[in-house]
Amino acid sequence: MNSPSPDPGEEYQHVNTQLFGLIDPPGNRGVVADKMTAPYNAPADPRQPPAMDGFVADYVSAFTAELGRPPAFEEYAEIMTGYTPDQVPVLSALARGFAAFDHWFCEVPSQTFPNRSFFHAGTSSGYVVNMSPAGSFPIHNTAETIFERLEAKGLTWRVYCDPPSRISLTGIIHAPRLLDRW
Amino acid sequence: MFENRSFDNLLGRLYQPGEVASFDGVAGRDLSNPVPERVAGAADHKVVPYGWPRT
Repeated sequence: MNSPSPDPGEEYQHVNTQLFGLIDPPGNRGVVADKMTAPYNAPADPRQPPAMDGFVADYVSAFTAELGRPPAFEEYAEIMTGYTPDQVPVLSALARGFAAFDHWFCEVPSQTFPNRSFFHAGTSSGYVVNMSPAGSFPIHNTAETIFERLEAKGLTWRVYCDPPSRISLTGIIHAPRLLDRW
Repeated sequence: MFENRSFDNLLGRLYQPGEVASFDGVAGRDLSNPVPERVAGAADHKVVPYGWPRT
């Protein structure tokens, strides 16, 4: 239950390669996301349809960056494998018992923080990865949150946080707005 | 574990074709990604098909 391993690249740069099959500039190949440069593997024409043909290319690149050596065929072919319902019985039962979105697209084809920010604020303040360069996000994510809109209408709200988390990730992501509520 | 998995990786085979009214999965479809030039295995494999031989 650990395939593919290592995990696929998740930053915006990696997802661009996965969706469009591009590694641009060529120096972005086989290096960690932080070392990649503009245009971050995005196509020159923003209307270019994503062919979804770069999952192998990106996995070869991400694997090389993470493990310091290029993968063998058997190692990178893992990115094209998938589980059968029998192999993931709980997830499959949930998907069969409730609604399964087969055409869901996240707001930012990238990491957690920008997408959670969209969920609470309708924007990620332009940031497309979690925290790179250091301090960009969430320190400067100043977008007004839905919690403040609720408050403005006299409604109460609360964000729950369970152990082992000591601090609400929602609070961290919207620190400029919510820090004083912690 | 399970960070950033695709829909096709986790749920692509949830339903077989015709089992439900509408499901955009992988069963019964010819899906693959090209193998980049000059990587290991490129001489023997032009593409990696979905599912590969693992199952």
